[in-house]
Amino acid sequence: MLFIRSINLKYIIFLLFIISQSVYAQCAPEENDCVPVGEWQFSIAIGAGVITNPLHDGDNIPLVIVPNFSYYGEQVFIDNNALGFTFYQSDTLSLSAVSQLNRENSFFQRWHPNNIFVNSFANAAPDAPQFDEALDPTGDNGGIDDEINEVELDQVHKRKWALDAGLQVNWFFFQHSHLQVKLLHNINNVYNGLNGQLALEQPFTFSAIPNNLLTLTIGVNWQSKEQVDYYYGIDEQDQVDEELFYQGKASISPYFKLINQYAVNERWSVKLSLQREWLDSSLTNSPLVQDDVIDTFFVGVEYAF
Amino acid sequence: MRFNTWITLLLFSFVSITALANNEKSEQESVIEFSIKPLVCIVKKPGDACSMTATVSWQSATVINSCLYQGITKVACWLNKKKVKAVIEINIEENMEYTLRDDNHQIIAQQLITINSSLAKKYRRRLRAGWSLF
Repeated sequence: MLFIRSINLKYIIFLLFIISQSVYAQCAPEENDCVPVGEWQFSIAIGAGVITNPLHDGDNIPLVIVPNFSYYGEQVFIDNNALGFTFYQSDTLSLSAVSQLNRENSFFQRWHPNNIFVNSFANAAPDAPQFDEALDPTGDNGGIDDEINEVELDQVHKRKWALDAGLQVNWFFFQHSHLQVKLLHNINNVYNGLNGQLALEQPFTFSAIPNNLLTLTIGVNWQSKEQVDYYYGIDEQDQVDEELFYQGKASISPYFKLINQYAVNERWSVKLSLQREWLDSSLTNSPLVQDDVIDTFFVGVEYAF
Repeated sequence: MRFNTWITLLLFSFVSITALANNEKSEQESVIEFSIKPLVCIVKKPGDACSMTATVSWQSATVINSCLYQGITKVACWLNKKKVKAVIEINIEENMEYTLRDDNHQIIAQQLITINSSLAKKYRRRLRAGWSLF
């Protein structure tokens, strides 16, 4: 049995080695998604924007200064919060092993601007946590009992940041269309489940506005039962009444994204980003969740170094 | 009639002299054999400056005074020479035209020295769908 496993392992390693020796695929430098190999790309966007937080009493995530960086070696790449190794690439297809930070815990953080940008003058104190409400969620203080079926952020135990790893497939087809499929598993023992993403991206250029690039993306985010349960489930670890306990189920949340970028010159561009994600009922049914969408909005200028 | 003859002779002389001068000039250019070797400077990566030792040689049918220019900068001059072979240091950051000029600063020969990188710049596709924080 051990011998068979050993043969299988050798076979898989050999297969990966063969695959990783495949022809190196270049792209046209003028294409928007084409980056020079072996060089860091760094840009910073300054403007106004927000990622809405769907949780009860959750802070929206402010977008004021948004850094954007990447490094693509011949096989290794770093792209913002993702680290990857591309073991196969052709003109149209890339297969990569990737690892990235899971998004979900960002909704459980306190993102008030005072926590990000230190204000030494006034109003520097963060919002006072509403412990009274937290400790008395059932409304025994004379409130209307039957209206309280929600759980606020401060009432639940602290969620942890999760690191995921898995496989990513990028398929470039037709006229700059890009399909991305990602399947990741938690690797730092936080929720011990899977999540995935399917995204179809299509850039558009217009001859009347030659320096403008409009990119539309539609996609779905899939979260396994384990992930939904860890972040949005409620159990005895949380300081809430048993009636509010919730067990998560797998979710599929579609989303739409629009990014418009107008290049003023080689380094400066004006950027507009809009995104809406429609949350699956397995998320919105959680007493923690207030909104059924997550919206992202940003408008500003970007400088590429 | 006599006046017309003089005019005709004058015009003929002018045309002949001009043709002769042009012919001499083209002959002078055509007899120059000019070369700089090597023609290509290899650098490690694109954008790197190039430094190399090159051999300049030229040969003319007649004795001439000439100067070698790197772009608009004078590099070397030779007086009353028919044949020259010299070693020069080349320091350039981009493709550069070398010219050999006569006393009148007229270009009598030219040669382009190009820079090539041993590691040609490679590109690959960014593997991320759109601009986003997560």
